[in-house]
Amino acid sequence: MRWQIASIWDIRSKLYDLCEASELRRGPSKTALFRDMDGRVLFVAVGTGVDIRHFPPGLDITAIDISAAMLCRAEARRKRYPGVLHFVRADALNLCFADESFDTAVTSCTMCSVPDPVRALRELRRVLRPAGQLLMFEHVRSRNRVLGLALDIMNLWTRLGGTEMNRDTLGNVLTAGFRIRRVTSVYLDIILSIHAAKA
Amino acid sequence: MSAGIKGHTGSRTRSMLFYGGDCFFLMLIGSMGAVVMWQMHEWLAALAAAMIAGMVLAMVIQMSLALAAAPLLGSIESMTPSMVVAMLSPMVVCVCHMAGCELSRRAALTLGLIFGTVMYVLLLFYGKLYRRRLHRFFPTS
Repeated sequence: MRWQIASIWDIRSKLYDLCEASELRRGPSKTALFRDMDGRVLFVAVGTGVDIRHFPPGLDITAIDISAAMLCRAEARRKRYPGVLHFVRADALNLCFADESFDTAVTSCTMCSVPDPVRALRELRRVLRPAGQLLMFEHVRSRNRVLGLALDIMNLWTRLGGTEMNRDTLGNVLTAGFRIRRVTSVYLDIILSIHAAKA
Repeated sequence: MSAGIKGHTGSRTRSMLFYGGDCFFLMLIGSMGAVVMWQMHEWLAALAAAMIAGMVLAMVIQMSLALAAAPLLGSIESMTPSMVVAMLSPMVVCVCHMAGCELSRRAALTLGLIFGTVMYVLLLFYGKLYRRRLHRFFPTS
C-alpha cells in the first residue's frame, strides 16, 4: 500500500507544479501561515518544494515526503533555502522520529492524500512537544450542500490519483487530540489555514 | 508605513484580479454549457439523447477549461464552482426546452452568462458569510 501510494506521487510529481500547486493564488496565504513556524519544524509532504519559498528564513526544518521523485524535484529549492532544511523520505502514517522531538508540525495539502488522516495527525501529535503547534494549509469538504456535492462528485476520479476532495479535516484534527486555535478562510470554506495546538 | 500601504494596495489589487478572473471564468463556463446544450437540442431530436450528450459535453468542456485555468486561478478554486455551473446552466436550457420555450443561440448564451454571474455573486456572499462565522468562533481570524 505504502509503495503504491509512493508510485502514484512519483507519477504526479511531473505535472504537479503546473496543474496543482496553484502558487499564484495561494502563495500569500501560505506565507502568512508559515510565518508562525517556530523552533524545530517538521514539514509533512514537501512534494516538489513549492512551499519552500514561503518558509521564514533561518529555521531548522525537517521535510518529509513518501515519494522519492518529489524529493528529487524539490532538491534545487531546498538548496536555495536560507536556513537548515533536511529531506527525509518517510511515511506520514509511520514517522521515523522520536516522541516530542518537534516544536512545530506543518502540513500543506497533505491530509487529502494520506490514506488515514486521523492516524497521520496522531503521529504528528506524538512527535510534537507538549503544547507544540500544528499549522495546516488544507482543502476540505464544503459545508454548503451544493459545493459539497460538487466535491463529492470530483472525488470519484481524484481519489484514483490519491487525492480525497471531501475530508472533514477540522473534525479529524479534533479527533486526533489537537485544540484548534484559529481558522482562516483562503477560499470559501474549502481551502483553510488552520492553527492548532497539542491539547 | 508606506511599505505597509503599498503592500495593502498590492494585495487588494491582487484580490480584485482574482475576483475578476473567477467571475469571467464562471461566465465563460455558464455560457459554454448553455450553448452546448442548446446545440444538442438543435442536432438531436430525442430529448433524452440531447440531454445526456449536452451534459457530458458541458462537463468535458468545463473540466478541460478548469485544468487550463488552474495555474492562474488555482485548481480547486477553478474546478469546484465551475462544476456546479456546468451542471446547472445546461439544465436551465433543458427546462426551457421542455417548457416549450424555444431559445435562440444568443438567448442561450445570455442565459449562461447570467447564470455564471449569479453563481459568482452567490459564492461571494457565501464566502463573506463563512468568514463572518469564522470570526465569531475565532475572533483573531
